[in-house]
Amino acid sequence: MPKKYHLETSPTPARHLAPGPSSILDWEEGCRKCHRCVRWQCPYGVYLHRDVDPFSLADTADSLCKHCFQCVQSCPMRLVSQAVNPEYTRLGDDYWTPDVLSRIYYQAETGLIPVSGAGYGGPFTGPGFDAMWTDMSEIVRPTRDGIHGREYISTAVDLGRKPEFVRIEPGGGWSETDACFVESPLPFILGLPQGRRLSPPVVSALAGAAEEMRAFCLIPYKYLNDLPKFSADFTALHLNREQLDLDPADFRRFPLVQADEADGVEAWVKRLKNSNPGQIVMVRLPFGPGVQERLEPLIQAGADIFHLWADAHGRQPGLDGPDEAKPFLKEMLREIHMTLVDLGLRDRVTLLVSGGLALAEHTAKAIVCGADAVVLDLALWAALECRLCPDCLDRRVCPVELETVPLDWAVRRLKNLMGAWRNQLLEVLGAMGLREIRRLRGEVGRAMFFEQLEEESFAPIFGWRKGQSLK
Amino acid sequence: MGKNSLKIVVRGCHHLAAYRRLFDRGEPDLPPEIEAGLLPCSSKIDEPHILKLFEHGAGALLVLACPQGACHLVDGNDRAERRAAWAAQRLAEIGIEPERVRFIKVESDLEEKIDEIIKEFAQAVFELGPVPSRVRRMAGKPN
Amino acid sequence: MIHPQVKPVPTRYRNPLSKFKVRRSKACQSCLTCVEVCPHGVHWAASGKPQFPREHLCHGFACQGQDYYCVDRCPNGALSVLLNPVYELLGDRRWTADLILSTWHMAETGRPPTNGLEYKIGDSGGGFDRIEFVFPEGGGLKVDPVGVSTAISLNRRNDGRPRLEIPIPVYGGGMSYGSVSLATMLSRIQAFAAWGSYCSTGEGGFPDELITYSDHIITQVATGLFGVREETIQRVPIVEFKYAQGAKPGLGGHLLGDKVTASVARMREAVAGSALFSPFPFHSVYSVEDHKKHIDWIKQINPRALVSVKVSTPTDVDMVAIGSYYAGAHIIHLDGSYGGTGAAPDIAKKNIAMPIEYAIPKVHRFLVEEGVRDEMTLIVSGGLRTAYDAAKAIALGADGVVTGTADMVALECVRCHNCESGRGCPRGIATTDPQLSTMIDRTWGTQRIINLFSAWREQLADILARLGLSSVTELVGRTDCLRHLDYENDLHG
Repeated sequence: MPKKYHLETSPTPARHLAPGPSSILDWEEGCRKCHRCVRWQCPYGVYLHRDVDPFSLADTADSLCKHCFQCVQSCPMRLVSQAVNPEYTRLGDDYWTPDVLSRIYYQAETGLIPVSGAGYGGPFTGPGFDAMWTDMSEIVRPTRDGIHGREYISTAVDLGRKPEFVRIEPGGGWSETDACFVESPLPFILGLPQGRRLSPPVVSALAGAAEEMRAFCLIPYKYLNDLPKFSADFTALHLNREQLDLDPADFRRFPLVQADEADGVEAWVKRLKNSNPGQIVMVRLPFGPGVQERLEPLIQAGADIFHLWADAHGRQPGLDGPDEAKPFLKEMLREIHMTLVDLGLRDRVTLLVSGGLALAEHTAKAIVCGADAVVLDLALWAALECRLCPDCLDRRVCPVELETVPLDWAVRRLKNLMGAWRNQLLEVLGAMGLREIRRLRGEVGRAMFFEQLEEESFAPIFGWRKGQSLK
Repeated sequence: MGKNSLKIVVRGCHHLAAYRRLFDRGEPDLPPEIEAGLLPCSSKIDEPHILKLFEHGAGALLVLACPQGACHLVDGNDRAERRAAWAAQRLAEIGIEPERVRFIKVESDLEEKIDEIIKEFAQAVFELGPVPSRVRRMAGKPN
Repeated sequence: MIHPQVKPVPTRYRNPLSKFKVRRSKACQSCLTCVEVCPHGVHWAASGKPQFPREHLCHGFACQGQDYYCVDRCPNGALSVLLNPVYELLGDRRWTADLILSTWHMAETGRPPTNGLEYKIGDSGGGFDRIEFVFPEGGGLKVDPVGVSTAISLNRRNDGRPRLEIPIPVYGGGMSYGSVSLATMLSRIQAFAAWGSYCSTGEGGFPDELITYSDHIITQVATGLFGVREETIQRVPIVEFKYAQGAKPGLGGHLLGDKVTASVARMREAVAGSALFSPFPFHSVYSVEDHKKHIDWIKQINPRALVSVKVSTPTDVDMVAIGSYYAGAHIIHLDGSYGGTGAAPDIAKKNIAMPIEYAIPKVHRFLVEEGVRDEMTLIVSGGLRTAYDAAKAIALGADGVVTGTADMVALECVRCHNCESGRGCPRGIATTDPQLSTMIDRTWGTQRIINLFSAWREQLADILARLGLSSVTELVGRTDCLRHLDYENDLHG
């Protein structure tokens, strides 16, 4: 029996109070000073612990209130009311909504899967990943993946080039071909977002968390000196254009190295493969037109992994205009995955994606669409309480003091989030009857897409969707 | 927050469109001592809250409310005005200048000038200087 | 049958929640003009003085410009009408503030609201919320709604078992003892019994207090087999196999440790304080043949029981349905992904399996093609909120519906989603905490749900009458009566 992977989580309270969705309006004028004030009957004790938070100067009740409206409905003088909290609605943006951010804060604090009562309250469908559902197996069929408990489901993935065949030696032994890969117990790589201030303590935390989880982090070269102590064994190194000229021997100790796609990168890949055999080479490319054509020559040059990136909302980078008009990650990824499948090259490389991955389900859905694993960035920042202020780079002061995160606290928060996300992947895989996440890759048959369901169920009843009929 | 530094707290009702717009791109573009935030209604703030703000290091408070008769809760802005006045009195009793608390119902003709209003207030407070810490500590003690 | 009587049942809280607030200032001189003038009963007086306005009856800004607008008619300008800030916090995209408040109105009065609150659709942007009925020219009544039948048969197989009928096409879904309080359970069961319908026990076993209602109870046999014994199967008219539940398909039931109180533990033969997980799937069922054995087993223990199979909505839901037919079930109950009570991981509620709107036409069509549709009763659930959702579900191909959340909203659930926080529901509905569960009085709860379904029945009869149909069974599969707002809708001349 292989040793089971264990990701330890531990409750790690926030350093800063996050605003809640409601704000209490507690008027005292006309108060009768009832013997049993309704405020003291609050089932959550919100008023008992009420204070002004010294750091944010906000009313703590606004963060603790669970809007059950008991106080509102019980005060005989009708003095208690509640309103939408504008400090909450201000958080994040249309994709990284206050609700998404609050979920991440919760998971980073507790390490638990978000479980709430009553049915789903969100929109029927939505753009991007919201237009996809995952399937489940009503009666787990033994012919699929066998009967097993959740604890035997594996979330491990392989990063790099796997052997496609083995060569039998004349003497009877066997040797692998030019395989070059590592196994990660999680389908998450910890990376850095663009457009955010990066501070050494946060980068150290990423490296520390990766090491403790035996997963990988993706760190730019310039931070190497800032990291107090870290294990190169769990670090993928990112080089920018100027650094491509560095002597590869200097970073042989890193199992993975990444460079951005640009002129001359093929030559760099070849050079690296020559100098550092066994080192896994990653090329990062933005999603966009023509990216498919770039892949084959890079594969021939020796690239093992492609890291395809989208913008923070999962859209094709570099375009102007509203999000709805831009291609989304899941469609672009499916195309690239299928192109490689058609070329017979899909199993020779690993596909990683990043951009717009805000919920655990986004990882599962990205893998269904063809990724092997994902690189996380903004979600990790949110785990450290980041509010995703739009003016991050221009601000004077970070509202959550990211530049001074304590290392231990940050590592635990990151592990909690990864633990919660991993557990959610286990739920989804368990529902499908899959015993490992590798088998989910490209498995669109185990997903249901909005367009497909609408067509199967509604087209026979209602005809063409508006705007789509061939007129 | 150092003893000698000055924190000017600005809180405004989010129904004041011009004030709300200051937050569109993140933090409002105001001098560094100013810490601005949004309220669901100016009546969110009450006397104990105001005193606690000073206890926790605020050197001044500016409350921006909706114009007379335009409060979404009818008289929230009137309540807030009375509370601010009461708090200013209370602060005066312990030696904190009442001018450090200002309450303004922003009439429509003043709306575009909101950031000027804020900066004017800040200027006036700078001239008063920071609140001595032993005085500030008294703000936290009721009666 | 004589339908149960509607009796007015106001909120159990001191202050109702309403869309509008009506404020009276100190300028009031008690002239009582507002009391005379308001046609909606918002203003009232006692001992010559006006009392707190009944804000939940107020029509708000719709009265502006009318000669009875109290704000303008008050000689002292003492009145103001404003949007209640709480209204903007209430509900979510599926259960909007309007749907919650109008369900409360129906639970209180037995009639749909007349003050402008939306009571037919929510704001989810898809599914039922983008589907409408197409009423013939004029939209008037084609038949007398009084004569319209809303009854359906639950046994359409000619197998000698009782041909049970229910007067409204609704029965109560399983919400187990442990996930909800005894008062909630009893309110639902008594209400469905009063309607001549049925209610499921959920998987938490069969509390003794339910025994008097056995003739109206559906015993649920779920994968944890909690509280399932021969007696609990023998004493009821319908037995329900829960293979999966829409909110967390592929996962078993889940009761968090805090909610496993001493009495829950006793009922389920478990340990207080320890979380309970039902396995998924049934570990004795791995094929249609096994499924048939299960059903045969139940049918043998109880020779008069009908069997319902409750499943969720995977891609091959139609195959699951036909499999249940061949295994001998009377009712196939599809539970879509968006419903749910108790605890479900958020990722499951949102993502796993398909929303019920897609599953209904798929299964209906398939069963028709297989030639067995007339022998099966197709029941659906999964977040159905209103009489209109129910009617649309039937028009898409169902015979009837099961409710869960709607019943709880009738008991004044606010959809705060805190059912699972520690002691459970702060409003006393989804909790067995000894103190919180006393918040609901069972007589109150029963009448609230009776009233709700009276309002639903009235709306169903109205829809049928306007379509010129004299029975709800004629609406089944009548997709030609529907249009989808995002489609061309030109298939039916």
